[in-house]
Formats: sequence, C-alpha cells, structure tokens
Amino acid sequence: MSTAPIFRLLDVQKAYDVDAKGGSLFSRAKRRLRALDGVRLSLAPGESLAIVGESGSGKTTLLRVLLGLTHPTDGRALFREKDIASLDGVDRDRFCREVAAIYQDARGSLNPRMSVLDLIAEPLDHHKLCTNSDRSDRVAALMSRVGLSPAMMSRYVSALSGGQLRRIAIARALASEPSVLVADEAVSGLDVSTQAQILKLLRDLQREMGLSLLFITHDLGVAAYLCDRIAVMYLGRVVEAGLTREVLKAPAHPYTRALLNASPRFFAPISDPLPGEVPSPIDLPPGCRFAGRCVRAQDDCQKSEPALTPASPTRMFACFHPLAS
Amino acid sequence: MKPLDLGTARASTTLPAALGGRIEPAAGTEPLLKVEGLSLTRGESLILDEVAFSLRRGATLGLLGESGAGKSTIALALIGLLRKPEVGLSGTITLDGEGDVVDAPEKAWLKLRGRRVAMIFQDASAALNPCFTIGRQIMTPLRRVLGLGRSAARVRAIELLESVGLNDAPSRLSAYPHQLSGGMQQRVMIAIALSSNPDLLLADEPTSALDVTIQAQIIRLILEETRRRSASCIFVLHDLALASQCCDDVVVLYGGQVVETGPSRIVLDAPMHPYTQALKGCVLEFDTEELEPLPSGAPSFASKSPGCRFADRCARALDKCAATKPPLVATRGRKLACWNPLP
Ligand SMILES: Nc1ncnc2c1ncn2[C@@H]1O[C@H](COP(=O)(O)OP(=O)(O)OP(=O)(O)O)[C@@H](O)[C@H]1O
Ligand SMILES: Nc1ncnc2c1ncn2[C@@H]1O[C@H](COP(=O)(O)OP(=O)(O)O)[C@@H](O)[C@H]1O
Ligand code: SF4
Ligand code: SF4
Ligand SMILES: [Mg+2]
Ligand SMILES: [Mg+2]
Repeated sequence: MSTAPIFRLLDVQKAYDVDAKGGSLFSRAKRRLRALDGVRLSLAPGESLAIVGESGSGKTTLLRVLLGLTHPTDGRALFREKDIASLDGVDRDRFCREVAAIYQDARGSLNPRMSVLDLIAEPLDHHKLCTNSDRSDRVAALMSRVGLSPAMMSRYVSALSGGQLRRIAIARALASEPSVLVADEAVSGLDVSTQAQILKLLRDLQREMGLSLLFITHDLGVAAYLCDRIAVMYLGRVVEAGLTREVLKAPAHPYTRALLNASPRFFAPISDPLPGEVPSPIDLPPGCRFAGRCVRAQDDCQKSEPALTPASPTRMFACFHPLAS
Repeated sequence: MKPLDLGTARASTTLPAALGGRIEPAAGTEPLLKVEGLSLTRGESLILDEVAFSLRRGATLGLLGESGAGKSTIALALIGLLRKPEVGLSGTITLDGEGDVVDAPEKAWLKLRGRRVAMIFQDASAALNPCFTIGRQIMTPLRRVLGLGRSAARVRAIELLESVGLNDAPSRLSAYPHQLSGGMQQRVMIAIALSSNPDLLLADEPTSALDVTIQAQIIRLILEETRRRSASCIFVLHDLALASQCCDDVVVLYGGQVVETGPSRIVLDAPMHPYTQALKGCVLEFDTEELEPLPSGAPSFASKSPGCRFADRCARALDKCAATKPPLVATRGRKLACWNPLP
C-alpha cells in the first residue's frame, strides 16, 4: 500500500451567499458566509484523525467536502492526489468503494422499509461484491463483526435500539471493504455504556483492519480515545493540530485550552467557562477570529490573522500569544 | 479560577466542589424533600421499586443510570405528573411544609408546580412553544403565578433574562425560540423555571444536546442561581464525571431500583456496587487509555423476578444474587444494595 495521503485539503474554502439579516426588500444585499475558510489537512493510510470544535465551527461542512457532496469555492480537496470534484469513471467507483461514511443520525440515515439484511447488503450489491448464494453469509459475518446477532437480519429499523442502529450503520460502512471511515458525531446522543461499546468496536476495527479514520466529535475524551492525531477547528479554520496526546497534554492555542477546561473531569472544579458562543461566520472582523472570546487577546490580535504555523514536526497552531508548554 | 460573585448568597450556604466551596452538608438543615418507598407498577412491570432518597435545602442531587433506569419517571413523579390512582404509584413524597404530596390532587399541584417545584428539560427547543415570543413565555407564569401586572412582569422578565446571561434582554423579549441558539434557549428555560423562585429545580439532562463549552456555562448558571436562592436542585445525568463536579449527593439507579446512594465524593470516588463501578468504567476523560464497556443488556422489570436486577450483566454475581434481592443497607458512608460488593 502506498503511503501517499488518502485525503489532502489545500486551503479549502467553502463560502455560501446568504441574505443579509435585516436587509430590506430593496437592498437585498448578499453576504458571504465562510463555513470553511482556508482548511489545510491530510490523512495518511492507517491514520486516525479527530476533528473537534464547537457546533458551527464547520466540521460537517468539512465532511461534506471530503465526501464530494459539496465542492470547495476555493482551494483543492484531493482524494489520492486527484480532485474529488472531478473524479469520474474508475476513479469515482474506487472513491465510492474506499470511502465509507457513518452519520450522526443513524435512524434517519437508514431506510425504514428495508430489513437489516438488505440494509447491510446494499453496498455489497452496489459494488457487486457478492453472489446471491453467499449474500446472507456475508451479511451474517459483518453482523457478527460489529457484535450483532445474525438472528436480527429480518428485523426493521423501528424494532432496534439506538446502539443496535449504530452497529448496523458501521456494518454497512464496512461492507464495501473501505480503506477510510469518516464519521460525524457517530456516538453522540448514546448512553455512556452504549457509547463505550461502540467506541471500543470502532477502535478495534480500525486497528485490526488498518483503516484510516476521520472522526468528527465535540468530545475531547472521544477524540483522545480513538485518534492519534487531532485538528481543532474554530469558525471554519484549523487553529491547532498535532498528535492528540501532545495537544491535549499541553495545548498551545487558548481555544484548545478552553475546550479542555470545559470537558467533564472527575472531581475537578467546573472552571470559568469560555464566555459567549461561536459567532456567526458572516462578516468576521479583521484579526484573529477567536479574539472576541479569548482571555489572552492583546492589541495585535485585532490587527491581523495568525496563520497556522508549524511549531515542531508534530505540532501546528495559529496564535500570536500561545500558551507555554 | 475567579471567585464567584454570588451576590446575595447566604453566608451559610455551602457550595459543591464545582464552585470551589465545601461539600459538607449545612449542619442541622431540615430535608426539603423526602422520597420513601416510591414504586410504580404498569401491568406486570415494576418500573420503580421502592425508591428512597432525601434532599437537603440548598443541596444538589444527581439521579444517575443508563437509559431506561427510571430517572425521568422519578422526575415526573416529583413534579406531580404521575399520580395515583390513575397510575400505580405508591410510597410517599414529602415536600417540606406541604406534607406528603404523592396523593395531592391536580388542583393542589397547580399551586405547587412552578412555585415550589420547577423543571427544565433536555430539549429546550421542544419545551418552548415555537409560536410565542420569548417575552410571552416568560411573562405568562410571572403574571399567573406571581400575579404581577403587565409592566411589572416585563421588568422582572428582563431582570431574569439578564440574570441567566442573555445579553440584549429587552430586545430578546420579542424574539421567537427559533431565533436563539440551543444554549440560549436553555438559558430562557432556566429563567422561566426560576421565575417564581421554586425551592426545588428538576433538570433532566439539561445539557446533553449542547457543546461542552455551553454545558459548562449552563451547569454553572444552574448552580449559581439555585444557590443564590437557597433552592435545591436535582440533576438527571448519565455522565458520572459531570455528576462528580456538580452534585453533592448521587442516587445510582438500575432497572428502577436504587443500587447505591450517598455523597458523590464517596460513591463516585470509590464505588462499591459493581454497576456504579461499571458505569464509571464507561466514562472517557481526555487521558483514558482503555475502556471496559459493560456487556449490553437491559434489566427485567418483571415484578415477579425475585433477585438482583443487574445479575445477568454482573461480573461478580453469586448464586444467590438471582434468587434474592439484596437490601439497601448503610455501608462505609453510603447506602448499597449488593450481595458481593467491591472491597
Ligand atoms: N407509561 C409507561 N408504560 C410502560 N413503561 C414505561 C412507561 N414510562 C416509562 N416506562 C419504562 O420505564 C423505564 C424507565 O423509563 P425512564 O424514562 O424513567 O428512564 P430514564 O432513566 O429517564 O432513561 P433516559 O436516560 O433514556 O431518559 C423504561 O424501561 C421505560 O420504557
Ligand atoms: N448550506 C448552507 N448554507 C448556508 N450556511 C451554511 C450551510 N451549511 C452550513 N452553513 C453554515 O456554516 C457554518 C458551519 O456549519 P457546519 O459545518 O454544519 O458546522 P458544525 O458541523 O461544526 O456544527 C455554520 O455557521 C452554518 O450555519
Ligand atoms: S491570536 Fe490572540 S486572540 Fe487569537 S487565540 Fe491567540 S492570543 Fe487569542
Ligand atoms: S447483588 Fe450480586 S448480581 Fe447484584 S450487583 Fe451485587 S454481586 Fe452483582
Ligand atoms: Mg455538525
Ligand atoms: Mg429520561
């Protein structure tokens, strides 16, 4: 297997034109909303990368770009060094087979009229990966792999629990024998015990099958457990990236520190929370986009925007006044 | 950490660890709430089985357990939405100054709800009426419950919205719920719940739909505002780490039974019940290397099953566990129901 990156994003921008708030009928000025604003990252074979950040930071938009569901308005999104937007023929087939997605809303993303057997077999049929005779054997094997009893094969979505649905979504994702799994908030909303089971399953699968994993979450504990690398996003930009363990042990960016402080921890005092919410990505003021909520902000932070710069071979951050390690 | 500005907080009020204060109970305070032998039967199922706990004035209590453990059912009983004889509810719920309210008629509950006991729900967007402005939703209870006139209610509504950290409060009165973020909607719910100064605030997973940063803001807000009023709070949670940060006491439930209860710094620091221990093993902090998930499974609620409801998932089960129900007994600073507890 080549070690060239599977995914590479080169300064990807995704902007939407939205109606200006309060604009009158006669001045319906359009404004630019930058959901992604210069994202640069890569995912190598076998690597696991967590994308973290508050809601509204652009995580889902990033995933949609990676899956080719929407195209960058600037910059390039590459799959095996080819533009995702213009994949065709064999490249397109290969992309569909190699990249599998798991969504947050398992119940909404699974067709309620299909049995579990048909749901899991759909990618097998689509990519012609099995014959009629071994179809149900293949599905049974996938079900066992994700900890479901094959006896459930004839059931429908409505008769399954939240945890069982996530397992089906994972079995479906594995059916096409992908090399990359991308997941958006795939364990949020689950009970702690079910979440722990699904996370352990994902980690075991990723390690045993050598899968690459891109996992979107707002839970730093989940990121740390599943992923070797982490990218912290704020308002459409990566503000800090590196090895998960290093970043969470000694964050350099004040936003990463704030996320860490807010994460529940046994018997720790609930620290002063990060004030306010993620502002709207429309008409951002010049300077660092975190300045309005940053406890370390100084005059120069309002003047220009800090770039994502490498501080060591394994660490990058975008801040003029980083925290000392 | 900056010291908290608690404004009018009484000097005697103790604070949970979260707010940097002591956890010890305020000496000599009467319990505000006492729940004894609370059971709920539905057909052949025993949904709640002899649930008992008490809550001191000014303290916070956490109801913990997996989905289906009975946490929300208890909260509904505490706000008078599950009453006998329509449902098979038995036992007593004693609210300081009101006596046993488990049997109180709806007419009596209309006076208690809001005034003495208020509730905030997990999904604020579903709890707020999308068709009415924020102002109308917060002013209606002020006028109805407290009997304030229109302009007094408006002034009070603005004060309340400011106290829960909503900037630009006067103009928010004319906003509709969908114009606010999830965190802001939850702030409005808290303002409404606190508007008539209840003694007891029930918060059923108030932050599970929110980011961790907003979660920290909301939990702090609830603690500060209830402490300021010397009110008590019951949190329904399933994150044990969060519970250790915001609850003085915890009640761990499994299949509608209390399996372990006591001060959170004792129960959550060194659980003795295998179920509490297992739940703790599911919590991810940002340096957790290994998880030991509980095997999947759900408790049987069959009223006839005689033994420990956790037996089929329990790694420490003994022969007698499935045959005889362990009683809840005081052990090392807590109460515990287990035949073979952790050392
Ligand atoms: N009206 C009812 N009829 C029958 N069973 C019920 C009824 N209401 C609740 N139950 C059952 O009682 C148990 C406890 O439910 P409850 O909603 O209190 O759980 P919970 O601890 O709040 O769970 P969650 O974390 O999912 O909110 C569940 O098994 C539920 O299915
Ligand atoms: N189709 C769209 N049109 C306009 N704005 C959008 C669209 N999709 C996303 N956005 C905006 O882009 C920003 C990032 O959204 P999203 O990627 O969903 O964030 P996250 O997944 O991190 O919560 C948000 O401000 C959101 O409102
Ligand atoms: S550049 Fe300035 S405002 Fe931005 S994160 Fe760093 S210190 Fe804060
Ligand atoms: S009573 Fe027995 S089965 Fe129940 S928790 Fe204790 S050891 Fe486990
Ligand atoms: Mg999203
Ligand atoms: Mg509930």
